[in-house]
Amino acid sequence: MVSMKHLRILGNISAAMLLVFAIACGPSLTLTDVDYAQPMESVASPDQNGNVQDVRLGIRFNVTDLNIKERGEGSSLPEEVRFIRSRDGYYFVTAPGFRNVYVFEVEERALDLKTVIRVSGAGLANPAFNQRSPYIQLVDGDVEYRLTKDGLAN
Amino acid sequence: MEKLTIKTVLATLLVLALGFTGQVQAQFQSDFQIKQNFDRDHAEVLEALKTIQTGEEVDEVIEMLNEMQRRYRDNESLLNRVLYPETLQARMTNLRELTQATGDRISRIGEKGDTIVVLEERIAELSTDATRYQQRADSLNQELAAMRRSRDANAAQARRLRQELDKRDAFIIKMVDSIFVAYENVDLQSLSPAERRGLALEIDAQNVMGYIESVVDNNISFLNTHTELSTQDFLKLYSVQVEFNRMWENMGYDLTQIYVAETRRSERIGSIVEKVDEWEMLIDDAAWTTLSDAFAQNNIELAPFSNSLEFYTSLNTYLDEAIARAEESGSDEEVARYQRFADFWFGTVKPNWQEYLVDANLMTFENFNTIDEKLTEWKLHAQPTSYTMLILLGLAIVLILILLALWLQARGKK
Repeated sequence: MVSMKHLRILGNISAAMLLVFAIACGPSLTLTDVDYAQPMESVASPDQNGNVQDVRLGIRFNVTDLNIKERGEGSSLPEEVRFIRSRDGYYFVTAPGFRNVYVFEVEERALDLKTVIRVSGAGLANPAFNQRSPYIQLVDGDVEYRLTKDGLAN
Repeated sequence: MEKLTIKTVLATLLVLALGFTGQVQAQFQSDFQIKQNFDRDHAEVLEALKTIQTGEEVDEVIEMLNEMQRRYRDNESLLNRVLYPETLQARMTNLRELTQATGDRISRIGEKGDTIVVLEERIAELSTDATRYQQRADSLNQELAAMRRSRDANAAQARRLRQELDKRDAFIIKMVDSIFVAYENVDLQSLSPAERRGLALEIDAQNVMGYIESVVDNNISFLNTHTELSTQDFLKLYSVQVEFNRMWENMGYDLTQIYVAETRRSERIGSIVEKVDEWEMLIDDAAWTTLSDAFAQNNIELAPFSNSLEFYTSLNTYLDEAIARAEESGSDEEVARYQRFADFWFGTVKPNWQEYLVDANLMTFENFNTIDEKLTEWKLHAQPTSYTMLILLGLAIVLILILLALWLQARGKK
């Protein structure tokens, strides 16, 4: 015989299952095939605190830690920082004198380093990013690099 | 033949190599740099459009645009993206239209010929003079402000300062007259708003209206602080005001058409008209008060007056009454009254004030002649009747009566 107590427990379990089911079937929508490609790189000079920004695109971040990672503690900030967002939404950042291009993934109020791409042993002289979807082209004088979020493409 | 062939091959290879290098370099151009170059070229064309003055220079700008079109043809897609919401084509079309409009303007000015050139030269010349006068007026105004604070300030100093400011006021009025004589030759109605603005730019727009307003401001300020001046000084200031009014009524509206933006026009006209009215009221009050006081100080009691008609009527009434009184009985007292008026009239009013009273349209030369004639009449009747004349008249009558008696007696004897 099923007692009243057992019926109450069964009822509670059913209610909990219904709730889980309702949450699982809640408002869920994913927009796909988004193109984040920034048509032209941003070139910005860091302020005294190391912040760079592109007012037109509405992005600002601090490059102090990036500079320490690239050049070591106590090194001066670069005169300009160049960055561009790829079609996939990753930010590619470098500066004159840097040996690497840093690829960042966008997080909530943060840029997470995803990849460090070594491009020059001696440091880039006059780097510039171009949007060449699906790649990001990095040019430095007459040298060209094709970059993806994972590293050099060629 | 063989050497030639080798040379040719080498040359060809060199050209190909250079071409290849060029292609490689072109391939690695920075998009950012392309955009910067485009912005620089765009700015250069705009700058050139501001200064070009001849048809040849227009052609040079058109060539610059053609070169730009060629240079950025391969980057159209990039530039369209970075110039969004504009496009490369829209930018180029805009530059070509501006160039076309500038060319048309230059061409029209060329057709209008020397008139514009003469006008521009005249305006440039006047602008230089106006600046010089403005600087002088600024220093005079500082002096004026210092005088207001000084206890030692006196009428003589004020008069000297006023004379300096008068020169400048006269110049401004002359300048505005002169500009408009020139503009009238150009036929403003035939010019488009853009052309009018173009002409107006030749002389600092703010300065023209600024100069005009400063004449009014300075005079209001002067009248508010200097009441110790002579009648002659005030009449002179009155004539300046009348001259200014004439200029403003003739040209004020046209001036604002050229020098003031349509949105601010009525406000600017209203502001100046208000000030001109205040100036007129102040000088009107000062001039008639001082004139009335001057007659009273010379023991000539005219009926009260506060405008030119009342002043002239008052003079006439005074003289008519004097003549009527003299006609009734001339006397030494009447002669003295006449003499007092005549001394003042011929010694002060006519030599010192007539010029300004006429200039300010307060009296005419005919008015002065009428007063002169009445004075002559007054003088004639003012003389007291002479006793000698009465005795001689009596003797003449007695003599006539004697002769008449003798004649009647002689006739009775016949």
